[in-house]
Amino acid sequence: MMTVVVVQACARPVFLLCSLVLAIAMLILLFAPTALSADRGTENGQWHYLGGDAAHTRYSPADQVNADNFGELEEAWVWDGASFNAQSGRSTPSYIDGTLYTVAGPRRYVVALDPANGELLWSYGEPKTARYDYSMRKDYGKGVAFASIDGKLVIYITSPGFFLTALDAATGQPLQGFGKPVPVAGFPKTGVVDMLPDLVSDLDIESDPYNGIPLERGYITTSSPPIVVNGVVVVGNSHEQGYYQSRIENVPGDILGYDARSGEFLWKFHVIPRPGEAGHETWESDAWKWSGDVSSWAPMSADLERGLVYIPTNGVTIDYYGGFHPGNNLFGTSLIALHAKTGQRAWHYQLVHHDIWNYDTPTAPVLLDVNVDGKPVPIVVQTTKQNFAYTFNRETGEPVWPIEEKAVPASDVPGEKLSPTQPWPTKPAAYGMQGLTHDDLIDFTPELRKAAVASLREFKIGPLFNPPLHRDNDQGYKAALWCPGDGGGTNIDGPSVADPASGIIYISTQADCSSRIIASGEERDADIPHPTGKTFSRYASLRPDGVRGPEDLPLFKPPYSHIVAIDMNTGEQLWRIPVGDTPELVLNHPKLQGIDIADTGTGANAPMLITATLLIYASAASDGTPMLFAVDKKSGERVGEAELPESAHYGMMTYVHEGKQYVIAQTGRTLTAMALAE
Amino acid sequence: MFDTGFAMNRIVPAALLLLLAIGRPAPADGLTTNDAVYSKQQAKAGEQLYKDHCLLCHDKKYFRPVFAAWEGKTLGTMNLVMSTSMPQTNPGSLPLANYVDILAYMLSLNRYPAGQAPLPADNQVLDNITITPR
Repeated sequence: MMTVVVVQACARPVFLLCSLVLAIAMLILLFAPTALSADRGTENGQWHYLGGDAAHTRYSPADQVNADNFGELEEAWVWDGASFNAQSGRSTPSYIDGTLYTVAGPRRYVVALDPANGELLWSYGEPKTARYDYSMRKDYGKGVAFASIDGKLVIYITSPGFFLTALDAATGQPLQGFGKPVPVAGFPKTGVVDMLPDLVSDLDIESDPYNGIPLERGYITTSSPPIVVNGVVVVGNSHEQGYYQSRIENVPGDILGYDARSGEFLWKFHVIPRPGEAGHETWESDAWKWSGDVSSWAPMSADLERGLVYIPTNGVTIDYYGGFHPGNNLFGTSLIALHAKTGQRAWHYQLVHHDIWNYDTPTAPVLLDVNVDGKPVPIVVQTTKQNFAYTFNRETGEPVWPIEEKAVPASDVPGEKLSPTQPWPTKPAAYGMQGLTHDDLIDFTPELRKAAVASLREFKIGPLFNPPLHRDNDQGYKAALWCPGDGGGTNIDGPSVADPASGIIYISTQADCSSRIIASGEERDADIPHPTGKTFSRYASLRPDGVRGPEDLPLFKPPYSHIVAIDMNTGEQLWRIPVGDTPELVLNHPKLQGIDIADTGTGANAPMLITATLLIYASAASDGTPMLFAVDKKSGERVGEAELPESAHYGMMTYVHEGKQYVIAQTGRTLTAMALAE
Repeated sequence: MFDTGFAMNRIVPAALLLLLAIGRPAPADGLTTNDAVYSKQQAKAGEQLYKDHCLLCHDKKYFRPVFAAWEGKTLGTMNLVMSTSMPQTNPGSLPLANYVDILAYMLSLNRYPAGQAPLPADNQVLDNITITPR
């Protein structure tokens, strides 16, 4: 479009001058740091981002693997990350121009693999630092980011020690002319940016390249890759989990922007607004001064055409108690859209006010272009632990369907002041468990129901946003039970996927409740080896204290976990299926003999991806055998299955290399490539 | 050749089994994790369960500081936490006996002495076993 405009302009009398302008413009375009192309990231067998495309749909048009041949999938190769101390398998590889790139292990080594056989091509490891040692999310790297700089493919990662590194994708060597030398032994002379000084530059905190910042001021790390949007590396971050915190101070997880070619620091977005900034009024009693976290630990997605990056956020320091930071606490537990070029906020929406439930936003937002009531709408969908799919016009931030403020219970914990209301989408309808009543409990037999009810006697149950309850309450309860709990609903172990052509989103969700013993921060502090901050919170969570179902059976009615398909053109659910097969524990339970049990689902969420015809997900057969299942994405009917050598979690991807389609399952410390038998 | 430790390894679990058999809880001033409260065979079974369900988030090094932090608390409380909140991807999904096997493996990783009898899947017994330094 831009080229056409310039050519038309050049048809006028000032042709020579205009041609010169055009030539310069062409040169600028040629050498501008951009994404590889303006495509979605998965055309031609590619899988550029950890979510496939920048929209995080995890959709590939690849169609070699289909319903007819799915059962012929077999192990093509296994890459073992043992020598990198790999463990969690949280990282989803990217397949870019014939090479696989991912991160492995707590040191977050960047590895390049041969897509045909999994052989290691190169690896890069960041030198050790004390600030790395403190990181509590070392093995949670999730993937890499990339850009094309002057025609050269560059891989970017952020590390547990909070460094940004750019590598030449062909060699694994640090990128020349990027960043500044880090004065720590072993660091390369180029290719690395120490991001801590940029983060704390307006916080009156001294940062040391080796030790980082004093723990009494806070701690910051990363657990997702950055994302490169039109030449800007946008960097998120993460903190210690809120349930491992006992003190009130921490540093805010501000979002940082860097130039993709030079590593120059460009901008910072304050996730806890300072005086005069929008949202500052949501922090009462000067709580913004000491509060931290509001990190963006889940992956970000981006609209490359609009230059917008979409950032899901965590709550404020300390889960389950927020008496020391009264107010709604923007931009905690929110979806933020920033202009990637400037870091300016385009819009935001807070999903949970004053979040104390650990309802941090756990997965990348999914971008789709749909038609609502006959009008084209660019949307962003955020699926959540609380089983709402919050849907917005991704350009304006307007809810596509009304989101109402609905009254929720108040807290009985001394000093805690919750928001009297929470945002409640009117559409799509909640896609999974919300709150708990006795009617939600196991009911295969009256005896089992009775036992389940009895097991809840010591716990305060209630609707969605049932607040935590302190240990020494005067209501006689041991604690409160909130549902969904810490694990969701939807969580990191089952990122949502979507079909850009149909506008259908597929969401994995599980039934789960949480309960924590809420006691004094000082008592909790004794259990934490390296606490951050200095002032004990009045309350903090001591430990989980949940409820088991009767006779080793799940506490709830089935399904225990399921996948829901929602047409985002209408907001209506199309179908829902259980995840995997009914566990033998249920199927063959002696108390259930003679009872007809429909498929219950395993109880766990499922990593998924979408292809031209299939929804593919990983789960287990009744006897626990790890499996890949294929589902007709239109009908929800299971149309194929293939055995996996190991259980797969967190994510999966597919690519076509030299004419052959591979499906990569993240199998703990290994990556397992499945392909059709020769 | 039987030394005192070996004899204790046999006697203590036997007493546990006897208590279970007659349906009475272990004495409140009962046992510690140093009293050979699990068997090697049970720890072996627990190791496979650990690989299948725990390793994804907790490597072997994770458990030593955990036991240090839990000093003075009981195996019953530890089991309650594990069996209602783990594995994180599907909390409470294993039979109680599996969690106790994993607990036995955790004890073996911390080099607590093993005995002849397995740790029973009985909260009343577990509540009377206190975590102490090895």
